[in-house]
Amino acid sequence: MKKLIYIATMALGVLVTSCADDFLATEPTSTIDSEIVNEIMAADVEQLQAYISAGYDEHYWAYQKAENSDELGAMSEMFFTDLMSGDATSPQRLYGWYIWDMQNDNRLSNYRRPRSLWSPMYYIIVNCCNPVIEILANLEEQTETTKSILYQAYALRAYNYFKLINYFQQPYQVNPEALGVPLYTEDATKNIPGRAPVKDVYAQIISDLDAAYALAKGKGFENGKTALSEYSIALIYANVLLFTGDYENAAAYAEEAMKGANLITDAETLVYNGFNSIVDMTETLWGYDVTAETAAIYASFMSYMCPYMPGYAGLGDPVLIDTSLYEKINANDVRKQWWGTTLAPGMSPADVLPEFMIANGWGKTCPNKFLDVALFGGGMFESDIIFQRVAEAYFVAAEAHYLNKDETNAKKVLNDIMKTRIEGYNCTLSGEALYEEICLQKRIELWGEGKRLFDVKRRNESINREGRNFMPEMAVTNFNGQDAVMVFQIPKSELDNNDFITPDQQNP
Amino acid sequence: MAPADATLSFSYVGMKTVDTKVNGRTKIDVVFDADATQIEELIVVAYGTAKKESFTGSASSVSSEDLAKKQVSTVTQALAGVVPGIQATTSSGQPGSGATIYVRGVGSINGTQTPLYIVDGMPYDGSIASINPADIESVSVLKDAVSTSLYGSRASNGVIVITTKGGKKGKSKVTFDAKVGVVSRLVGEYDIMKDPAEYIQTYWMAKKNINGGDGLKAAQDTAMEIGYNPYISTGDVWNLTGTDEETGEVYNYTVDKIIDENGNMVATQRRYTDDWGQLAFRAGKRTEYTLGIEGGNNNTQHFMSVGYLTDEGIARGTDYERLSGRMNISHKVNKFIDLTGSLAYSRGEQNLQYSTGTALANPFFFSQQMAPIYPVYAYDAEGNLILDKNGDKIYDWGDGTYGTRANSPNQNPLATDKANVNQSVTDQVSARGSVSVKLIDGLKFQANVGYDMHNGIQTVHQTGQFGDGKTAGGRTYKYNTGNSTLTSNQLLTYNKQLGENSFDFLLGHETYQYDYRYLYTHKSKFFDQSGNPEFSNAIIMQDMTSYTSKETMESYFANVNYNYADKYYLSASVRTDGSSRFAPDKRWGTFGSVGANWRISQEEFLKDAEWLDNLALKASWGTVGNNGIGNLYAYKTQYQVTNANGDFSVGKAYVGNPDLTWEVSENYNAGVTASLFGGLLTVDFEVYKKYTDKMLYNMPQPPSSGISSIPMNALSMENVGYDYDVALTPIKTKDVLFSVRLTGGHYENKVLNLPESKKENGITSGTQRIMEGYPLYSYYYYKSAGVNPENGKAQWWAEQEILDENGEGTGVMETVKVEDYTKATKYDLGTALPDFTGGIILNFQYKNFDFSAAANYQVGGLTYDSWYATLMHTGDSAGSNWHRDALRAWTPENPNTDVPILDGDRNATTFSDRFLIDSSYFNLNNVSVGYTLPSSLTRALHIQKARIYVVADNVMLRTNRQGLDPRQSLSGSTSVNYSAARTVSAGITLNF
Repeated sequence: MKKLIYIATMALGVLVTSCADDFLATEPTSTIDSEIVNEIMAADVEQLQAYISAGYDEHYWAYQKAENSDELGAMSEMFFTDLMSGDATSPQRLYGWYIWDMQNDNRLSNYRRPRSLWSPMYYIIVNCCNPVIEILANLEEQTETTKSILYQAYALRAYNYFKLINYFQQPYQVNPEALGVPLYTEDATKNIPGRAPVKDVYAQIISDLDAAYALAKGKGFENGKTALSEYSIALIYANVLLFTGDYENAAAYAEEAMKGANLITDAETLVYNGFNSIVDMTETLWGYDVTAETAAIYASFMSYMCPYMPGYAGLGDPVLIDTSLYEKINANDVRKQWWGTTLAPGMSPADVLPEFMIANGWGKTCPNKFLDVALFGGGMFESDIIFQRVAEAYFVAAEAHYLNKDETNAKKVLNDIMKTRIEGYNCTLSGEALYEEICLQKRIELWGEGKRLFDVKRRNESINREGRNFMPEMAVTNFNGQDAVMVFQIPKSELDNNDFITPDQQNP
Repeated sequence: MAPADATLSFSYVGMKTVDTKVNGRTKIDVVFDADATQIEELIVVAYGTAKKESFTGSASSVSSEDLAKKQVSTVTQALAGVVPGIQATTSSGQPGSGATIYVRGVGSINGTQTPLYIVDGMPYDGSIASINPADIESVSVLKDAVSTSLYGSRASNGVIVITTKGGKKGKSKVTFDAKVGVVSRLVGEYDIMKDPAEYIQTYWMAKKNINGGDGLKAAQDTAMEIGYNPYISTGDVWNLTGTDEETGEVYNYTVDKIIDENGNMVATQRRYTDDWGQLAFRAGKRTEYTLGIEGGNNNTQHFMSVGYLTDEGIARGTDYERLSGRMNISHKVNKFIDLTGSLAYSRGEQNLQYSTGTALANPFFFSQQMAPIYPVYAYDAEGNLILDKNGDKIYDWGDGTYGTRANSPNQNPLATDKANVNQSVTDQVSARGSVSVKLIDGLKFQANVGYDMHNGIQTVHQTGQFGDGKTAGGRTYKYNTGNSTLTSNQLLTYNKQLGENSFDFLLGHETYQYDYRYLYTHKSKFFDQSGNPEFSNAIIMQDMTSYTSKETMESYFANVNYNYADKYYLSASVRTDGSSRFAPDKRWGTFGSVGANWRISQEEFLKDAEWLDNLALKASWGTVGNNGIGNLYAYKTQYQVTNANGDFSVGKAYVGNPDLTWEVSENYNAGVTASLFGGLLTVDFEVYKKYTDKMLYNMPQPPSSGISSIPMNALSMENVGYDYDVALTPIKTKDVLFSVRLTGGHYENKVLNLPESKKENGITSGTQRIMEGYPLYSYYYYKSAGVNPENGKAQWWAEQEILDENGEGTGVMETVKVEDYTKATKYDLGTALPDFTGGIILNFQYKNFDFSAAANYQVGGLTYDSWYATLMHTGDSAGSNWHRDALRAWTPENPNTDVPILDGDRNATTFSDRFLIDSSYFNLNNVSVGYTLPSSLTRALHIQKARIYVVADNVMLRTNRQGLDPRQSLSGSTSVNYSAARTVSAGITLNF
């Protein structure tokens, strides 16, 4: 008997599987444990750049987290804003992803548009910028690299809040006391805020831009054009100051941004540039470098904007310029050729517009401005995305000077850029007519680049779509820039889950 | 040595006892007959078996005989309606896919909701589809705590114990089964428009409403927009010329008159009659062969089988093929040592196709959303097929070549499904080994090891010829997945008989390790476009990633069963589990149970009651755990690394919670088991309450925080219900047997203990709300108030404050109808959970004929019929088909209707109870008719038994709307997936 028990004990010893503590300790490999990330970041604070890179990615990559072709992050923003403000039109609806933007009916809390702009896109702030600022702002020994990471974090945060506040509320001057957006400046797990007043959001934006610009000034493009530079920060700052009414400084910052790149002076280069490369589009201040790995194929900017490609545009849902705006382009303006059917040098005769474009009479107003790199031997829909161009800075400067009652400098800056667009251009207008000229030339210049909507809101311009030749089944909507429909509602998921925003605080 | 005139009694579990006189023989062969009533009484439970009458817990079992009548490819499909208290959902009818089983309601929200699977004694993470149902001896479903608690963790949603066949002593027995059948579509199309005229007239009506009543403009717009004339032109055309006001461009269109200004069709002769719904589908063939050999002697028993199944499915380009083999052996080494081992291998090859949701490549979706005005193939103006140079039909892409479709141009799933590849190949190996040593009398040591390995490779190829892959010159994605589970346990059992007292003790230790590997690769630009999907044929490297994950668990457990005089039974168990899913200090959970069973029929006062075979009352209490939160490392916050053009981009991917620990459910169960009149009537009835606390819940966060949710132990939930299983055999004679079995279950679910900040408004998730005191999956959204007879607009109910003459609020509320849903009020609209689920099984035998039928049904519950809502659009997009209910739409002539005006207003179809539908259904899920050939005939061929049969599965489904399958999910959501299939086969079973 004893022997048997002995054997049994032996057997147990052999067969009982290991039960050490480390048997139950497992580590993820598809993701990285925050403890490990924190250790790496603590050992080398310069690695914090990876958070900021994630922030840049998020602007572009937002589409990957969405399921629909109208949620392409910054790529959608480039043209849904123009569709909303009337300078662009989508003439028919086969796929119809963007028609509700054009109807100014894509703003309710349960719609995709507000939701996808809100998060992850612009509220990446809390995960990408805030932790960097929390660590680096208090760092005693700054290196040139940490300073560079820090100013990018401040600038990106300011940029994102500027976008958020203008999508989700009326412009600053309408009511600085109105409820804006939740203002996070630290780790979101510590504290969930409600809607901060518009003026508080602007105060944060300006304080961040001051901090960013102080650190960035004089550094040039030290991180390349895929990162925010001193010029980008200056341009963001100038735009912010146009909203707050500090026109003098707006002009000064815009003039700083103008130093970031030279204008293209050669007509052919400008007309057939294609806006597909942050290198070849030499006016670029900030953009996203798309590669084969990051190409979004159908769900991409060029898919909608380049009708020569078999994307959404080429298959039937092109985005055209508003005919009335097109008619306003001077016949001698080289930019008139940004629309039309002339093939760019390097495109092959096989690259013709789809038949339906011609048959429907859309040839004249379809964009030639944006041409996918694949037409020139590059990868399919691998075109870069250009967020900021130096040309914008000229128009911002001109407007700021004008609003600052300095017509001389307004005209000077306007002439500086316009003479590269219209041979012999020399503006002799003054007063209201000068202002209208600045605004018109800016609309033409920046068509399809996502700049128009905020101008319409800031200036409370009228959107006029009367007599337009598009989608007869859709009602024509005309609004003013400061009508309630121009403000997005706070997304339903935010209202459902943020205990500090009550239903009566929702936008109308 | 027995005396020569003795009577020997042979008995074997599950077999009728055979008494035979020795008559001086020295070698006696005995043939056992299976005893149907006895088989049901032995239930495989945790770490052993139990006799049904002595079992203190709740379990239902399904025998191999029950399974043999069905022809399901996956065993989970055979449980609905047979096991009381379960609910089965099937999201896809794709051949090779199984059902998801829920035991006694919904047990968790974000933790695992489905039961733990145990195959041959070991937790099983592999694919249930890889187990050939013909190899299964029994399936037990363990429902209450006393039966599941010994599995401790992960058993909170019940346990499904699958036991494969072992060999039996005696002469080798060979079973061969072959069946051939036809698979057809069970759930067909919705009642969509199939007649082009009906569609065009409806579209014209919508156009007319949109443009303010101009019938002529509506007719012209209709002809222009739809892009095709489905009729042979009468030669009557409109010449639309004019000058664009804005651009000054002169336009000039010539378009066929299809419909006139009064909405009458002009042309009537069809140019083509292609029906997408007919052409995309087919009647598929299903064949299945199984061969099983069992036998053995006193020391060694074996079971071996091979099976081969092919099922073509109903969508073209889909099929499933499975080859499976199994070998189970048990061997008695000597008086002390027993060995058992089993090895199973299965290979599955599945050709899928996109068949989920609103993907244009999904033929189930595409064929229904496409207006009946577009052809599949290319036709000329006279309606003749246009053929290519080989004389084959040409697919029409609607891309302008033969016409421009207003709906989904450049798509034709019939063409792409033919050229694309979506193939999934899986190999599964499953091994079990066990050694058991008798140490001293009653004391036994057993060591078991189980290893399951699953390797899968999925190849998705999009052709470069057309469709989605065209721009890239073709693409292939490959997903290599592999997982393995290694479980080993050591059990020490001791049983002791002390007079009328009998004790069974069990002491055990178990380790579990699950490993998963994933490799994803993606290339594009293929040289050979004829269908070779392999990477060697492509030149652009697109994307690649890989990872592994791992889960481990360690457990200690003990169990005691006590029996006094086969009259009173008590059992108690305790188990403690450590799970790698939780932080080290939150890792361990201890669960336990007690149960009692009183066999009243053994008491003196009932012992002589001849009509009563068995009557037992039982009750149990216990706790079980759940660690099944989706993320295997839920206590850790995690980051994701991506490539920012050569630099690192590190973003937050998951916010973990270091305090996360086990979800615990407390179960109460009480029941009665009775068998009367020699088994002619058996009744099982149980009531239960399951209280789940510290639920694993992904608490949604404000999106502005950059975090979608944080896992927490929050909320509680209660399921209170009953289930029953009644079997009645009214006729049982030598030639005729007739029996009826009824199963059913009902439960009430209620969410409790919401966090303080959520108590008032609940937690909203889309159109549903989690609210204290309400069932889970309760809809909380707008309530339709019908249609305004004045203008045809959709209306919703709203609670509004009555204003006085100065426009000031009076504080008094009234219920009003509004036409702007953003002003509507949200109401509680009811839950998706059912009121009742049940089953009916009929068996009839007459001489050599046998017949059986089984049905399962559900009463109540609400389904959101999203597809119906889509098909009820208001005419805002040309070429999208309508449900024929749209014919009832409001018009000035038809003002009293429940369908709003077709005026392109997309808000009319916003979510409301208008699109909720009662999920009740009745599914005749199995009918079989068989004939056993007379033994006089078969004996001559050395065949012991031969049965020919016809069997039909999923024969009929009745729901509240044609085309709707409400069995897709527990939460009430549906999508247009691969529809369920009906299978009718003829076959033969031979026993040698």
